[in-house]
Amino acid sequence: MWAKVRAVWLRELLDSVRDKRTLYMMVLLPIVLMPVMIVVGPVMMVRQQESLAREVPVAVVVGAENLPELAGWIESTGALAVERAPAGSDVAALETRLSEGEVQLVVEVPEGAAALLSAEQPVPIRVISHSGTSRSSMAADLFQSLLGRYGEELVSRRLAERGLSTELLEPFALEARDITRREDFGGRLLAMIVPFFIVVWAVVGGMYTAIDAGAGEKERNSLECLIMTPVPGAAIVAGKFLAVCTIALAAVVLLIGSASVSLLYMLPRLLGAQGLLSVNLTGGGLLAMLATMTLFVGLMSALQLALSVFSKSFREAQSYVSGLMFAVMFPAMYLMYVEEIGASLWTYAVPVLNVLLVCREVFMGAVGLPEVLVTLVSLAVALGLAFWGAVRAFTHEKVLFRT
Amino acid sequence: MIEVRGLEKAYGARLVVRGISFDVKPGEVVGLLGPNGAGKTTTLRVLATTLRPTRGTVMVAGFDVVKDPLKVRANVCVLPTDPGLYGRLTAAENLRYFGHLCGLGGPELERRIDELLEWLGLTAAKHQRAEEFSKGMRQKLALARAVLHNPPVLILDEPTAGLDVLASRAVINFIRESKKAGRSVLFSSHYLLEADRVCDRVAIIVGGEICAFGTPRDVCAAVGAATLEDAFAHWVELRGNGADRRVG
Ligand SMILES: Nc1ncnc2c1ncn2[C@@H]1O[C@H](COP(=O)(O)OP(=O)(O)O)[C@@H](O)[C@H]1O
Ligand SMILES: [Mg+2]
Repeated sequence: MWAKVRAVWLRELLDSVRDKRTLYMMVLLPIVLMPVMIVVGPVMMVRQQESLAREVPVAVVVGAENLPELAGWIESTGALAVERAPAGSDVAALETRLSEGEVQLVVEVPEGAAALLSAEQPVPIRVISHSGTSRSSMAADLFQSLLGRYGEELVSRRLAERGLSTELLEPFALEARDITRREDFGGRLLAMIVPFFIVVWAVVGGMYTAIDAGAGEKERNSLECLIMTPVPGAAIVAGKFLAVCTIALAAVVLLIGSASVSLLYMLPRLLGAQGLLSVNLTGGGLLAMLATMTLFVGLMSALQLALSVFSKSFREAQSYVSGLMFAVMFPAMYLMYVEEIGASLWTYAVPVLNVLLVCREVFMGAVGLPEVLVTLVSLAVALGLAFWGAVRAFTHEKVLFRT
Repeated sequence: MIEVRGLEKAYGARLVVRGISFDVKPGEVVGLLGPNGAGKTTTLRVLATTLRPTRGTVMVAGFDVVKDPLKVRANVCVLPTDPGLYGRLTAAENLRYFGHLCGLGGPELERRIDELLEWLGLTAAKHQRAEEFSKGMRQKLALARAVLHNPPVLILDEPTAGLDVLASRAVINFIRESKKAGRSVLFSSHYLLEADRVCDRVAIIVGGEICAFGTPRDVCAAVGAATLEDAFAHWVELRGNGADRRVG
């Protein structure tokens, strides 16, 4: 029996390898896509930050002559460029320039500001920003902190005039420490992007092989010859299932390989930062991920095969399989934006969701044994059901000769 | 070798084979002749175990198609209407695959493959992909695949449909040689001339019922026809094509 299962398995593999579409989905796309996905985003982000840092934002100070010292002080820090506009300038016109990105901030200093200041009265200062653009909101933040510092300087001058200590103003001495290591950035990135692609590729990788093995055989009329051979239906389905699994698993492994190369090698080189991305993978975590992925690939392969055998034509199978792909993609996309880890145990009984969670937790070094066990059991049960469904479809004459 | 008793087959509520009985003896060639939609393919699929009979018993090579489908499959070779080859596989790979599924292997299988390709004149195309084959070559390859495991019973569904004269001749010769080799052959056709040439007995099936069964001579004599074609026309006109009649 095993010899026959193997014969089916090998034939499907041979057929798939000779099919350009399979090679494209399985080999070319993962190898090209992962570096693009992983490298382009962060590199663009860094480039943007660099350009933001290089170009000094421009603040228009309306009525700068009302408090010349302020504009001068800000200019002297070099953090903001100051464009002076006389009091009573057309603020609406300035707002247009602001929204067009020509300047990043508009500051209004009222008349008599100097008098208010020397009378130790608060000086109302109006700030107009365009927080829709990051440069303008950055300029607003900068201005606020500069104004704060300038204010502190004035206050300490006033205190000194009265012979008091500056410490009067600071009842607390705050000392803050952020424990996020630079390496965590890499783990997070892996934990966000990679599970998504792994899960999607568990479907996409074996897609054409599965479609070919069921609906494809029907369409070319080879299925009838196949079921006339003295081989039980379950053995034929097993061979086909193994072929789909092999191709999908190969695709997923290639994907992980290409993701790792991009993350651990290409990205640091391009960003010019070494040691940025050491991921803390443990042996146990890796094993858990491997087992989870293998079972998940098996589940997806069996499901696709069942759908494919059930379909009348290649086309129909393709639309069912695309449906399956979206069903997998939505939770994956959702999880990409949800940050918390450690969902309740029952979520690990939901296929797809559990795979995503386990992958993510492995990358973040926070995976627990009960969660992994629940995941594995749930996937195994689902896999068994899907395989049974595929065999049922394959041995049912109504399905085989559906027209 | 084949024994069909009171076979009925319904698709849902639609009865398309209506209680037919016939038999094929060892070394005999029987033609199942009927117009399109008469139920030929359906009947042959039941014999080949890919469809379950609704009623009646069917024995092939001594095994019941319902109780022992795997044994039946091991003892018949079936050529469906469509050759159904794997286009991306070469001729030899196609044959090797089915050989493995029939439990053959090793040098013995390779020898058998070479022998069959030689016999059907496909040796030069051994390592050519099936998708590059002409229709006639495909049909020959499908025949080679069907007899790979040397079964005692041959079931062919319209083996000459759509083939040119030379290719049809090759198929007819193949049937003759199979008979010489002692196999029982049951094939369906709506080409009466070739049936007349090779069949020991013919069954005329119209609207899911067998109207006449016997040697071509007897079938003609029974309705006073001069040729098999006349007899065939007689029955088709008389019964109409009743495939669309409903049960009930
Ligand atoms: N899978 C099927 N489902 C429903 N009806 C079918 C199916 N296959 C064939 N039929 C119907 O059964 C009748 C007999 O078909 P078939 O056995 O293919 O005839 P033949 O081979 O003699 O042309 C036809 O009317 C056909 O439409
Ligand atoms: Mg037919």
